Amino acid sequence: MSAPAFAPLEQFAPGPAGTGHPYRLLPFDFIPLDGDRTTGRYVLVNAAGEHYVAARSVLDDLVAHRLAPASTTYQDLKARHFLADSPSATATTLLATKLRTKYSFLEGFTRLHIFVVTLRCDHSCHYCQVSRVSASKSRYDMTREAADRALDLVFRAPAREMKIEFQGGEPLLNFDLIRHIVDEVDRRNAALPEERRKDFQFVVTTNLSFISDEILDFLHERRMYVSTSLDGPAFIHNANRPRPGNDAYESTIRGIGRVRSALGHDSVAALMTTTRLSLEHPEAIVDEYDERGFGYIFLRPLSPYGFAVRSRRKTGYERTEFLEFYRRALERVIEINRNGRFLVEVYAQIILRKILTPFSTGYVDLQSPAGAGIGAVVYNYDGDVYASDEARMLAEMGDKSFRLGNVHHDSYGQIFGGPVLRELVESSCVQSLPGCSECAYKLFCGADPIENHTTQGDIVGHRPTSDFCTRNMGIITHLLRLYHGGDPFIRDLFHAWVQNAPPDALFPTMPA
Amino acid sequence: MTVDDRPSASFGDAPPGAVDPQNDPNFVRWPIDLELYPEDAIFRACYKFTDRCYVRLERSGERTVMAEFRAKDGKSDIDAIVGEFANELIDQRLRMDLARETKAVRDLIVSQAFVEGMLDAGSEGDHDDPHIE
Repeated sequence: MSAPAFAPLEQFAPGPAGTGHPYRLLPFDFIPLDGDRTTGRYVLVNAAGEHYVAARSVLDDLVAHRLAPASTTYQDLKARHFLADSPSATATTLLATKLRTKYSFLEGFTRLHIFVVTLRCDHSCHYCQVSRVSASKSRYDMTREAADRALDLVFRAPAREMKIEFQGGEPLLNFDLIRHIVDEVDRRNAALPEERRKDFQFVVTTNLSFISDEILDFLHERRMYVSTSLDGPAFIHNANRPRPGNDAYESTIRGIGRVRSALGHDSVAALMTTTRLSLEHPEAIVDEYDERGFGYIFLRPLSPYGFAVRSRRKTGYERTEFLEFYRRALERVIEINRNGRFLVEVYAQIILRKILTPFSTGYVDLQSPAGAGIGAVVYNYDGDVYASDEARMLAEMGDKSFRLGNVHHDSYGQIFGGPVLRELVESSCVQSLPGCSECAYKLFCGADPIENHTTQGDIVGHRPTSDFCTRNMGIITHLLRLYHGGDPFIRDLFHAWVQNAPPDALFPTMPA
Repeated sequence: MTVDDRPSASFGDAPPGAVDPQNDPNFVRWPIDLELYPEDAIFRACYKFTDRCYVRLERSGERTVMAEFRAKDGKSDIDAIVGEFANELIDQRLRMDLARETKAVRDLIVSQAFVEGMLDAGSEGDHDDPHIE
């Protein structure tokens, strides 16, 4: 691709031929926000993802070149790059810069490398996304040889800032291998010339059942992080995550306390999964996170994989039910903030960063092209390489469509330059997907070809019946309605979430 | 894709059997003026209704396309669907006008963004794999 030598003729024209109006339109999309066609509002989103909320009459006047240059609306739309009235290339250059910033995540090819060090687990969670096996069957452990070969691939990734995440099963059941991988990463990295060294962060995703002083010492020494599951108060967590003794909640809370004591308060993160049981208790779940001092909650739907599919009757729900759950939970989160405690809903934070800033978020599950393979990759216990955790879960269900290769048999080029990953990327660019290409939310959203394949049998997917589309359209619309709903507290709070910092004006009693 | 290329294009699953629009409350047939609404706008508008309806398009004259909607579940309000579809056609036409007027500038912005992005990416990482063309 080469840069055009000249700007197109249209850039210097005052408007469409014959209109005589002294402005030209810059590219944007639009979508209804609320109300009906005549009284409702529309969201206009320009080529770089900046948005503007306006009445339908403003939209029609804008497109018909009827806006009066002296009006405030005209000046606002000009300032936000929806129209331009001079031949200067400043507007297009600024839009190009912002668009490039939005896609800066593409520069750091494959930052997240997930090692499934074992499939063994002591829990029998209803929604578990991989096949569980008894904690005693070591044939489901990753070998050192497989781990070393996977590390060969890790060190070939162009990204400089890397995250290695240990998953399972329960990864602490194969802690010796975790220790080996961390040691080996440090050894290999130290052997590189300084200018080629990478920055590594390590995370262990664990249910905390097998945490010990020895493990905590190692995690502390290597500055590793811990991620765990907390589905809500005991009656929800224990119902979702059965284990012998029915004490998963108590075990998790004890484990969180031990990790915080040994590694620091913020060294342990928790995630929740929404099951059918959760739907009736959004407030209790939010309160659990608040009371446990997390400062955030990440409201996540059930994934359509693994046991989540097999036990759908027990745990599953309709897509509209999750949206209602999300709305109620978010309302509780906002209420807690109103009461003076800074609590972030992480999914809203990710989307608001896309809406309110020009920056990319690094969140691989909501990006275009999809993060599968280019943002994250999974090395399964048997050496198979998958484009994402979801691709691995699908393989455990018997469908290996998104297996990129195997660490024992395939090269970096065969795995990361092969037809599977190329098709995933080509099929997940929202600019060319039916139903997405003209959607005003496309820069706030993303694509999930693996979920499309799983739920609709087609990698491109059918937007009108897509859970992914319904869920994200619903959440984005809800957030925009709240932001433009006339409540200054919510507006300030959303900006605080984007900054991830509680401003003194909103939270005067919070310690710095 | 054009309507001429596909004289009876349909979306979603095929609608079952022949229908009598006079007696079927779940069915509606509606002519669309191709001078008012470009084919792309018609297809895009139809696509949005393929969750609730079986939709079929057929050339019915030199400047007309006949759209047929059959509610999938037998419960949808076909009158409301027709109303929504009419509004959607107008929005899709507006989007196409907008896209036509701004296409050159949009192309310029995208090429400018990604040409510079490629230069910014530098030469980090390992690109010498013989398997990568």
